[in-house]
Amino acid sequence: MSETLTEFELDTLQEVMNMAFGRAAADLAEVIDVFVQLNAPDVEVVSLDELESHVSMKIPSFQSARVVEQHYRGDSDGVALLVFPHGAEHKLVSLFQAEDGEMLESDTVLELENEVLMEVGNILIGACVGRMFDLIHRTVYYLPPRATEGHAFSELTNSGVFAKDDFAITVQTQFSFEDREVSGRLFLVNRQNSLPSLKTALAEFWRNLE
Amino acid sequence: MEVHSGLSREDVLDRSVFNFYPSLNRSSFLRACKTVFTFGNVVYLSQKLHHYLFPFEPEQTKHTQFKFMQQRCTMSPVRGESNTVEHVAITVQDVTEHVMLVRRLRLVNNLDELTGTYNRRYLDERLREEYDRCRRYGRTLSVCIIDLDYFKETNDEMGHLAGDQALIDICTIVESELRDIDFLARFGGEEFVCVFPETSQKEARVVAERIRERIATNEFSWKDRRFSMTASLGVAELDATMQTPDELLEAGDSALYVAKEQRNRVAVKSVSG
Amino acid sequence: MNPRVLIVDDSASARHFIKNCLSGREIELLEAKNGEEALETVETAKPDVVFLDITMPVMDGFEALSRLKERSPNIPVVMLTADVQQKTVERIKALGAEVFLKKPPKKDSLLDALDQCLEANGQ
Repeated sequence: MSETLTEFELDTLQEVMNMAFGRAAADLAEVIDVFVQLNAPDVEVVSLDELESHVSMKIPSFQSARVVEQHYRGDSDGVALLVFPHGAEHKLVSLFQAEDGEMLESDTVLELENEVLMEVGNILIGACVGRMFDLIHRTVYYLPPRATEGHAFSELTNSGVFAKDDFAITVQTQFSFEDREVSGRLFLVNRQNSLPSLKTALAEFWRNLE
Repeated sequence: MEVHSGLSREDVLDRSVFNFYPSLNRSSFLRACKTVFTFGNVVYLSQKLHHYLFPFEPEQTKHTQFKFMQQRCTMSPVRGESNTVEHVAITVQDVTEHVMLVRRLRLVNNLDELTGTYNRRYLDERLREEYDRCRRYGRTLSVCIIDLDYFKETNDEMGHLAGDQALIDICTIVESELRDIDFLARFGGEEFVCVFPETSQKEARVVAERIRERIATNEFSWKDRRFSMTASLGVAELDATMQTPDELLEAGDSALYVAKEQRNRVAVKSVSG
Repeated sequence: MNPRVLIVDDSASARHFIKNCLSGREIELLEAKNGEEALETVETAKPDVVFLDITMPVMDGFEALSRLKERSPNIPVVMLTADVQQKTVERIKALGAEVFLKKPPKKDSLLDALDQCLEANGQ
């Protein structure tokens, strides 16, 4: 990585994430109307060419895991990838399915599960990522999410949209909705051109509170 | 919106949306609204999950399959001066035609044109699903392979159209013996596969026997021709040694082979052999 | 003797920030980076006020709070958290924290909380 975050900036980023997630948990609880717990996030910064090996270290079978991918633009350009473990979709479908419960004959269970993951993913990403950018006074807007699988990570590097020296902020957290424990990992891949903006925002963060 | 709802702008301004659409007062809609107000991001309500937000009549009444217009909706934040979210804008897209098209496509993909039963592609997919479910939950599954006896000869004697009609009639007979959870698929020219979830070979055998009997005693006809037919049936149940769904079909096939020695018979693949 | 204030947070930048905010006052500032260290420091240094963060590794803020109140119930605690769910706030109050502040804290709120605690202690 040509330029990186200083220790102080990293520390601030971790703090910002802590706060974002703490706040997000409270907001989610209100929005989804269940008790939500988001574990303290574990924040790391890796360069894009290290990302895949980083992900496979944290999630050995990530290639076949379900992923919700959502791009964002604005003060930062990037993509959020929310990785769900196997079985998460089953636990979540019951929480989020339409009340009339009627499943149309032509829809497969797989499609329904994908829809649920996308809807939940959209909310979670909006909550956690949104709060993070909020705290550092940056604005982003989101493109529609899509449900995909772990190979989305290699597609990122191959798509040409991201360059090798772009960086990823990886945030590991576990969330649980009431009694349903669903763990997930959130990866935020950002374009290198947003790094200066981020560094400035982090430096200003504490100053703005005085 | 005015066209589909029958309400004018003046009717609804400053009134609660629940006055007009009480069905919206449910958690999925409220959650979506809260999400937009709290996080300021866009919420996508897919047709697949939600079917529709507003109960409008479908555009063309020939779409009798759906009581209401199928909708894909987007809910977006509208920010005020202080950059806080003050309103939610809901965009409604009529996707009824699209959904109908997808359904029709799926059916065409999965059905055998002549008999209207499921086709081989569907069989492979569903059998794999059932097999996986059995392995996951420790349930059982049986198949019955039906092969018509002397079908080529019947075709030659009575004509292809008579043969086709016989196939259709046989499917009708077989399906009337199946439960809701069973299904029938056409495997080849005169070969069919019945899949019986949650069924042992003992139970499957009973059904197979009934099918055999009904086919054998049925009077087939085409125009002024009368003829009879018989079928050989092979029954097999999923056992622990089978590694793939195909092995289950193979077991049914070897049972069928035995039945074919005599014809108009049901043979069952023994579990041990 | 100047009152002693202990700041407990796993984030160096957060501790740094709180120290800066409170530095205008005539107080002695101490730091700890997790619950365990905090309890040790309380034993040895006997602070007059404790600022405590909730999300910390090793021993989280809740456990630290309850242990702290067990051993030294008279030391007022200011709890800092970003998670303001009803259940969380109730839990904090139930465990005996005197003040709870929403994160990120503003300088004024920190000073107000400090004053509130020192008054309670008759300082």
